[in-house]
Amino acid sequence: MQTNEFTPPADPSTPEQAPRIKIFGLGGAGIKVMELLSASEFAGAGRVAIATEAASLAVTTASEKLLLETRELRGLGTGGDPERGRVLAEEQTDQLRALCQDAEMIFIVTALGGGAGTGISPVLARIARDSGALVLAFVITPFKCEGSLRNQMAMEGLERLRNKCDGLICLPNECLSKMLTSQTSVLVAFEMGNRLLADAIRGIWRLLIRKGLIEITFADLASVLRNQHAHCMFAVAEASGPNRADLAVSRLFEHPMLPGGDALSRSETVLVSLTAGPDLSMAELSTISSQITSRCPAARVVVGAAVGSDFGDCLGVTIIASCPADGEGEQIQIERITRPIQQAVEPVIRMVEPTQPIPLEAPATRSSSEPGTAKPGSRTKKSHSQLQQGQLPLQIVSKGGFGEPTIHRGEDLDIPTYIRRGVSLN
Amino acid sequence: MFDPTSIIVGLEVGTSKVCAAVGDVSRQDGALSIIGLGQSPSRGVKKGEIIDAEAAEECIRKAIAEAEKMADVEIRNVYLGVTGGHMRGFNNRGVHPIVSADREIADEDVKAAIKNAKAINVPAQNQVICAIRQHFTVEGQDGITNPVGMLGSRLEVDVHVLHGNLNRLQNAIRTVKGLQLEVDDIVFNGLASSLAVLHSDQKEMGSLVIDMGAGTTEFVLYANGIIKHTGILAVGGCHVTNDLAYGLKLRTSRAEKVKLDHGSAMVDEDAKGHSVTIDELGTDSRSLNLEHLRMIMSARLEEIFQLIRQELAQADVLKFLRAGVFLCGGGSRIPKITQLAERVFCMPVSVTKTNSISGLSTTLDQPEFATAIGLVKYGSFQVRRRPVAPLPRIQDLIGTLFKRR
Repeated sequence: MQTNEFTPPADPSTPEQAPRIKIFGLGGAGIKVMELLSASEFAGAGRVAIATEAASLAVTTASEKLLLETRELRGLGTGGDPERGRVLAEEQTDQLRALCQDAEMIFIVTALGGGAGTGISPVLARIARDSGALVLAFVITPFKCEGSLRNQMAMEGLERLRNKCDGLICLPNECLSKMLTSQTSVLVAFEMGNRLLADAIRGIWRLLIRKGLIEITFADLASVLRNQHAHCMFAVAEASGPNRADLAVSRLFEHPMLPGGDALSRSETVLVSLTAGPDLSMAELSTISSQITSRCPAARVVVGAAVGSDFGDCLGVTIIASCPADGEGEQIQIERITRPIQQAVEPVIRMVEPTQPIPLEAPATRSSSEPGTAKPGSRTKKSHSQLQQGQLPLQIVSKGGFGEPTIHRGEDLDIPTYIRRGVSLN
Repeated sequence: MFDPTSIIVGLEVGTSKVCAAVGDVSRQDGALSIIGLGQSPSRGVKKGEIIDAEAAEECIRKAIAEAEKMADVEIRNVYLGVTGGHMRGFNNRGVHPIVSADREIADEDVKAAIKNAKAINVPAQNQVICAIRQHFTVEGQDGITNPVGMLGSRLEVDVHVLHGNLNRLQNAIRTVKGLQLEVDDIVFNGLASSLAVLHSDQKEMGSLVIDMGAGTTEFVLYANGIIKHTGILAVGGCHVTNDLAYGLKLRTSRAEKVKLDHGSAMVDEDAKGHSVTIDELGTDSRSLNLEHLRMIMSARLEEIFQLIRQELAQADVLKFLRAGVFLCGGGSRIPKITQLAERVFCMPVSVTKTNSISGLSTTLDQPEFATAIGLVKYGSFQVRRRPVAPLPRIQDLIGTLFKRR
């Protein structure tokens, strides 16, 4: 399982080399994920908790806490309305800016789909960037069964956040459904997602903090994560023992985000980071590198390695891959794997069929959902309980009237090239 | 007037147009000249394959009628060009032991060797369209073009075999037959184009011909005078139009016009920040970002070239390319397409002309007609081998009396 805690603590003897990093846990879920990152391991990083409800802040061990609150909310939080979250954040820009001071790098950890994370994160990312920090966002998107409205809000929030930060790693909770059995409880399922995201943060932290033999810089990382139309996958695996290289690779490919390693074949850029003790052999390095490279022949692969005695004989592999967002194939796949989880978890009442088009390919949708042009903040909670107008997935990606699709190495060539390649027209 | 056996017609049923070319092989010296050409915008064809037989039939009828009128002949037989994503080409080797006492290789041995080479495992529903002879090997001696009369105990031949889905090929043939036209032979469009545009020294040197059609892109690689590789990509000019229609939010017909008026394969510095206004009767005028337009086009066209390069690299035949890359088909008219292709292939690229045939030169000097003219050229090779039958002469006499007007 990937949920094992990474035990060796970071080397505290090299704090002056490390960039000044702050981790922002945003909203209830974001704070929970941040709590999974132990303070000793992340020594040197500032931990900030931001929430709109006092209850979420009460549990955190973060060094700095900020409660975003106005009198109108009466301590009830945002009520799941991202617009309220956004307005709140805009109102308290000064406080957020003060928190972002002196940080060279800011991690924003949050879950999208609710009010706080979805609404505040783009504003926070903007402020953080304005204050000169590099911004990396780690987000979780909801399960499909959490309702189409939540999913849609998450997708809109994701798009907005993507434009505002330097890098974004998204864990769709939906990916977990492969790991769930019919007995898995809801609590465990959510916990699993939180742990996976924490793993990702830990992996990236190590990658950035440990000055490696073969170094991966933030610029490399950002170039992998920045692609607008792409989505990122990550996986972390560890192994020890005589066969650790093979073991780590096979664990990596079993990771729920990389089902069978198939997903890698479509990726454009793959970043591989190794951490190990001084006994890391060249053979191990080349085994891992070649096994990963063989899965993604078309991708640009960047390999980095860090060696430290505190890792013991534990070999850690972190992989981050960006692959172009594709249209129907992906959606159908998600549809298919949705079913078991809908049976497993008692379904939340869905108001519309979850066939909302993912607005990644629709620039029009994105521009209309920019904060400036968004709906006024007076949207009431009542409007959410009204039925949403369903939308048929008629024009997700225009493939034109070409009839039989032209599939070339798993890619539908009828979809415009600029979409598949993520050429942004802005 | 004309000896019918000397009249050869090439018919290409393309995605954007149907084109019929009429050629005449001179009785005296066997030289081929094009005496007529007919074309009609195509309907009912997608990605090079007929999807609506009735609509396609009508277009073929028009094109044939126009060609008949221009050449002043009646068309009864055609060489039909075929293409489509279902077609595949690969190289195969056939072996034949020479059993005769003197070990001299005879015509029959050559035929047997080629027959062996054709007998390959194509999928059950597929049919071999053609097997193009490459080189013979006699007793391990490579690169022999004509082994007849040589001595040896073992004759081998390399062939390039093209095969495609039988039913889908039949659909095209049936549609043409429905117009009371006989199909002499079916020919792969890419092969036809390459015949029309390449000189023999270019084939010798190693050249790549890319026929950029509306629905499909075909490519043929020659080296040492023989075909080394063929391929088809079911992507073409229509995809460029569709990308533009989607990216710029235009109707397809408008996108097509924008593509022709303002398109380019490269994103230039001077396009940056510029916009073009499109105007049409009955619609509002709109301003389009020229840079976006070119970015969308460039992405698609570059991808097409990259896919071709990838396939050639995989087949390990890129090393044979010395004469360069030659473009034909409507897509080769896109401005700066050669620059883009040069960037991908890293070698000289030019838009070819069908200059290896005489007659109507200015009209024929268009890259779009390469396939139709190449089909005629292919036909002329076949006719030279065929004995002359006396009967058609009489038929022709009657034919001229009752000629269709």
